Parts: sequence; C-alpha cells; structure tokens
Amino acid sequence: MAMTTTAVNGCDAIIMLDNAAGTPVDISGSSNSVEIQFDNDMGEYKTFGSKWKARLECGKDASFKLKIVYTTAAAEAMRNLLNWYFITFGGKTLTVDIPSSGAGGDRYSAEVKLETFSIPAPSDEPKPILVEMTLLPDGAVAWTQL
Amino acid sequence: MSITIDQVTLAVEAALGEASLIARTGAEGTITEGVNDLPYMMIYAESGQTDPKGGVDRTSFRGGIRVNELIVMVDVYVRQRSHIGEDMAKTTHCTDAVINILEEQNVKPYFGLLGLQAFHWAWQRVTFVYGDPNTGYVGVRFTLTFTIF
Repeated sequence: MAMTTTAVNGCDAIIMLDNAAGTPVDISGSSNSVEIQFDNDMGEYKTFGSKWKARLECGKDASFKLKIVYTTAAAEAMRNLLNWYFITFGGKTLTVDIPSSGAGGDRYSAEVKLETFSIPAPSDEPKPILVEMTLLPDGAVAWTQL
Repeated sequence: MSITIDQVTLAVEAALGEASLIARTGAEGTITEGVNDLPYMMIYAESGQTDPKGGVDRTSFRGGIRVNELIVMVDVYVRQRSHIGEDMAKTTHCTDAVINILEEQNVKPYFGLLGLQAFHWAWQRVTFVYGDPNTGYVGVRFTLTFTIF
C-alpha cells in the first residue's frame, strides 16, 4: 500500500477566540497546544440469550483543552482568559484550524464556556509558564472542511 | 532571539568582572591572545540550542514563542602554573569570588539584561595550556547556561 503523503502535525494550527468585545482574535502565537475530546453518549443493554452487550447512541459532547503561554500583552491568550474569568463571563466563539487555515484543513468551532484553568508557577522551571484551561461547548461543535 | 549573543557575553563580563581578585577581563572583540595581568577572565559564547526540552523549534503555534538556550563559557586564568599549593588556593579564592557575583543575580533582569529568563551554572578547575611555547595556567572554567525567550 502506498505511504500517505497527507499526514499533518499541529505546529501551525490556528486558534481563534473572542476577546472581551466579542471579536475573534488569533491567539495561536501565545498558545502551546489544543486537545479536542469528542464523546458519544452511550446507553448499553444486554438481553437474555446473548453474551454480548448492545449499545444505543444518544447525545454528543466535546471538550477543548488549551495550553496557553502566560504572557502580559493585552491581545494575547492569557489576558483574554483573565478578562473572561474575572470580568466578562459567558460564552465565546472558539475556532481551531488544523493543520492551518489553508485549503484541505479542518475547522472545529463552537460557542464555549470556561470550565477550569490552572496556573502552575514552579521556581525551578526556566521555560514559559503554560496555563491549562478546559472549555466546554454550549451547544453544537461544528466541523468544516476548508 | 530577543537579545543578541554579544549582549549576553558583554553583560556577563560587566557583572563578573567586578569579582574581587580579577585583574582583567575580555569578551568577544576584547579578548586578547596574550594572557597578561592574571587573573584574566575570558568570556565567550560556546553553543546554543532551540527548545532544549522539546522536539520542535517552538513553544507556541506558528512560532510565536521560541525558547533558546545559550551556553557561555567564562575561563579564569588564575596563575601561571608554579607552586601547587599557592595555585590551588588562589584558584579557589577566585572561584568563590565569581560564585558570589553569580549568587547576587537573584531577580530579573539577570545581569541587567531583559530577555534572560533563567540561568544556571557549573564550574570546573582547569589547567589551561596556552600560548607558544605552551604554558600551563591554573584556573577555573564556569559554564553558564541561559534560557532566553
């Protein structure tokens, strides 16, 4: 079988998140990683006479785990996050383009709410602080082929 | 990098040159072939690496943040090799003097230079063989590792 020539990595992914004014801002340059988890709700059952379980599909869910770099510039991810948690609250539009926004890429977008974030600050780590946050969709997650 | 290699070596020279017992310093363009006025401190960049703990060049998407590691050597020629006891004593005194300066770098900007985010050091006693004809000098070599982004 021929080896694939279309494998991608995440180095040039584009992350867009609304700022306090509701305007999408590219936070890729201050973001380190994104992990999108998709889930199908399953109801399982078993009947007499069968050893194997059966399952029914129902709802869908997803979560977005972002690692952002702790920076101090206003337009970057960290200030956006702090404003979101402490001042503005509510939902924001998140868009993730993998591997980039070019043709052939995939776009995942959703209205999301901030569930958690944590700020580690060890004294013995020279690299930038990476802040991890979890965003949960408020409604559907859309997938678009670019 | 957010700062140049020259800026780092010159900042290190300015700081460590204040160590007691150090008679003369040289960094980059001011390093001399002759080793006179001992103890003589020579500062130069040795090597560098991008994203030393990772497998790519970046810490954020699209190269927004790159973490660089820069290794700077500080060679201190303490004495021309002669009396072992005196050589050792002078070398340890010079080593202590340099360490004292390094330990004064408690908060940013380290060495007075914005962009140096972290650093650590190691030192080793060295017998430098230098010149023509080869001459032995007792001394100490500090290896300073800087994290820059």
